[in-house]
Amino acid sequence: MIENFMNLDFDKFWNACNPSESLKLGNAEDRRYYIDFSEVRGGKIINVLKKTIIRSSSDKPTCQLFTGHIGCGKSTELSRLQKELTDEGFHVVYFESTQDLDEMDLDLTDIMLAIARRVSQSLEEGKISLQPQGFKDFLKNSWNFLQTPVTLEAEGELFGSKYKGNTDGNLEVSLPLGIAKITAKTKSNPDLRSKLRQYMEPQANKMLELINQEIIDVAINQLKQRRKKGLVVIVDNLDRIVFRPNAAGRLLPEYIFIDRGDQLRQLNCHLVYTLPLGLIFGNESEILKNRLGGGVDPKVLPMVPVKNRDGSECIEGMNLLRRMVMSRAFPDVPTEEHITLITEVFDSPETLDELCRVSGGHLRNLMGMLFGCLQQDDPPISQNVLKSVIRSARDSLSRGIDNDEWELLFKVVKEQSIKGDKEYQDLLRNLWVFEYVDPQGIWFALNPLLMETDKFKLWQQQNC
Amino acid sequence: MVNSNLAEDIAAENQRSLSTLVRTIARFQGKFSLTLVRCNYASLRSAILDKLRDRSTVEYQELVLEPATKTLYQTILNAVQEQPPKALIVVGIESVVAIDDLLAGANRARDQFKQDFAFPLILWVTDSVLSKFSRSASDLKSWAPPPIQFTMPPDDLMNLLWQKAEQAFANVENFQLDDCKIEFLRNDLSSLGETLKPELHASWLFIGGLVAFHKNKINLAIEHYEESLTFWQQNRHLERQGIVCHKIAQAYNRQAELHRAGKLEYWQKSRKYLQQSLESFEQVQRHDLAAKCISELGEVLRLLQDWEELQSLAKKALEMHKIYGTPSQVAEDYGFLAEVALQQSQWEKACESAKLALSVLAQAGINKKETGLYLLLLAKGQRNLIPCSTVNPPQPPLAKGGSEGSIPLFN
Repeated sequence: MIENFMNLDFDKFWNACNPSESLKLGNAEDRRYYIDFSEVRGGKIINVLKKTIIRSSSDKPTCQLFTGHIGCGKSTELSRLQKELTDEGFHVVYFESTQDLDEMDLDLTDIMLAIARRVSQSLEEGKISLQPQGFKDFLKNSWNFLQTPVTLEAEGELFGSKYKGNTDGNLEVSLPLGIAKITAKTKSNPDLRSKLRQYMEPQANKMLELINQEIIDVAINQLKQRRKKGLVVIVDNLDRIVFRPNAAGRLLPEYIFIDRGDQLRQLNCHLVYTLPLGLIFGNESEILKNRLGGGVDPKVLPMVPVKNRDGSECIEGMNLLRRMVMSRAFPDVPTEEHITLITEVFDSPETLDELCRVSGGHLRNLMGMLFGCLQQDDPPISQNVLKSVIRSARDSLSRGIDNDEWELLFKVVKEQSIKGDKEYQDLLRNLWVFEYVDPQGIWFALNPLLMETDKFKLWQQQNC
Repeated sequence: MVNSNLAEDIAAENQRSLSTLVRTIARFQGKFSLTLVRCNYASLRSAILDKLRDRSTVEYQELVLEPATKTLYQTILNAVQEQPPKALIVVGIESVVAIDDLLAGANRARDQFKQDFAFPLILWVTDSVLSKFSRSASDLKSWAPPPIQFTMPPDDLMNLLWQKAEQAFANVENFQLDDCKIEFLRNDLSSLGETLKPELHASWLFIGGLVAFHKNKINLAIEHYEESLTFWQQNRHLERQGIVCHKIAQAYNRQAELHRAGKLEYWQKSRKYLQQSLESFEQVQRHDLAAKCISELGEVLRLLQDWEELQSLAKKALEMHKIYGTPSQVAEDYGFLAEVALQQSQWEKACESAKLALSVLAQAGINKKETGLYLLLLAKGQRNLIPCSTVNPPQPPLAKGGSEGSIPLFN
């Protein structure tokens, strides 16, 4: 039996490192691949989020903020939060905002609609019945408003509004379906979308009230009758909201999370929102903390450190990364035995180290490079193959960097910190700079791939 | 000329990339995976795709995106619906007009890609598409391993540069850097550490000017042109001097449009360069180019209201255009003469020239659009011709044969 575990199954291996897959911890298969990096990522962030929810008195809602680089493992960590809270007896609604919303063009009411839809859908699946009459009326009015002059064809009725008069308000169409219909209609049509907003935005508070009274409060009551501890909504991928000015000239993430932060936290359940990493270094991070976070700083999921602040190797971080790679190859082999199997996967332990080091602790990039190696040749992966993959990763990362941006990057290298300006946020968003946490706090370093460029090497010669 | 080690390295690297591509198609079956292939040159791409067809033992499908493509997901779905391929290669993204929307849409639909396309999806991208990917579809991009790269071998790159340079001067009005972007070429060249021969360098400065002009960076365009011009002047290459001067003049005309306050100064500059250009073309007997140039010079003189100069130029132009020009150009010359006459209050002369312009166009069967100006000039002349019965309506398209207005057009 053991023998069997020790054979590298190529197909399973490449599937396990396909960068388009992220681990879902609700899935037992995936749990075998999961590595807990919390000890090198500034503590058990997920635990803090979880405890805040568990410990809050039962009728007091919470709103917590969570952020980190794209691909650093946020979704995986949130799926862990989802699983652990479910195990604790909460009803957890997790969804990726990007499936419902346009990250380049959205407003508060769009987010509210998405939450209302996902929550009511999930409750419906759990056979919890809602009677959101007021909210349905609100939507029906919105729908009618949309139908006026703009469109001619009536694409079917909403909540039976066509039969108005012969139903006494006991409408058959479900709420999530109704919302889906509205979103589908406005999704592909920016004019209609802005029209809908004109209608909804001035009534945002009314909408919040209706969602609270008719959906969330009712649901929590029924959930409690079923001995559930409460309702948690986790909105993933809101960190993808694009830093570009809205119609009023305000950057979209600042508008949503800062200007509308008060309203965003007003839902009567436990909320976990993801937000763009750049926002917490912005000049308004204090306002963000107070308005949306209720006085609590957003939780940041940093990179897994491969080096310490002083440039020495971070032994724990490297160990965990090696373990992650080896677990993808041998999910059923105990960690202690990995060392004997390294040469099944790499030509030498140094090649594995190099892969981990150059990833900078960015987990999806690491998976991407590993996958790239497997694209080139069968394991064991040679140093040559890895080098060629690194070159390609380096070139595609560094092509877009202009001279001004290089100057900023050199500054980051010298100061190990960044400022709130938009320029710096671009550095983070483009994954040119990574954020790490150690006992002294947050620090920043260049993506190691950029250190492989001629430009950087030249600068280093001249400055060190 | 080209460092041979480097050439070998590039050849070996391309070979390796080709094998990776073959392997990706063969070994990663049955599940979605996204692979980006980075290649900046259409010619290199088609050469590689030919080789791939030869080498791949697995049947795969190829899909070429049309410029009007709106959504990547739907387009792929339509292409693979009947029978899912073992692998799909998609080319032509760089030609899509609404590429930012396409990428943003693909990013949003990424989960559907994963769900519905259970095969390796291999997208060919150029550097500019790749940077748009980072901006508009960063999530989707993060699903792909580092791109598989193909680099143009140095000799081929050099040939391409020469070929493009020749094309630019041979047919400057229709010149396009269609299958590659100037930035890539510069990048690739600098990475080759190659120093260009002065002639090629000067040609590429000229192309750089064309590209800058196209992007409305007029000052930059003029800078490039001027630098290029210096070389052609030093080497007494009259034809190219003429072409570059002509382009500099066009750039100044554009400046005059953009910055109305300084328009007179810009037109003066434009005039100077058009005169130089005209002289050069005349010296090398490129009458076709001179014929175009002289019309533009006339227009600038008109704008500058230098009526005397315009009069003598228009006469000269008329002679030239009757032999080497088009009816429209001849008509334009008469138009200049009519305008000069109006300015000099020589109404009859003005009417006469305007009628000549109209008759030339009529004879050539040219439509109403161009005749408007000359009708206007004629009307202006006639209004001042008192009593002159009632104002004659313009003559209908001229009768064949010997009306007074008809003049021999081409000798």
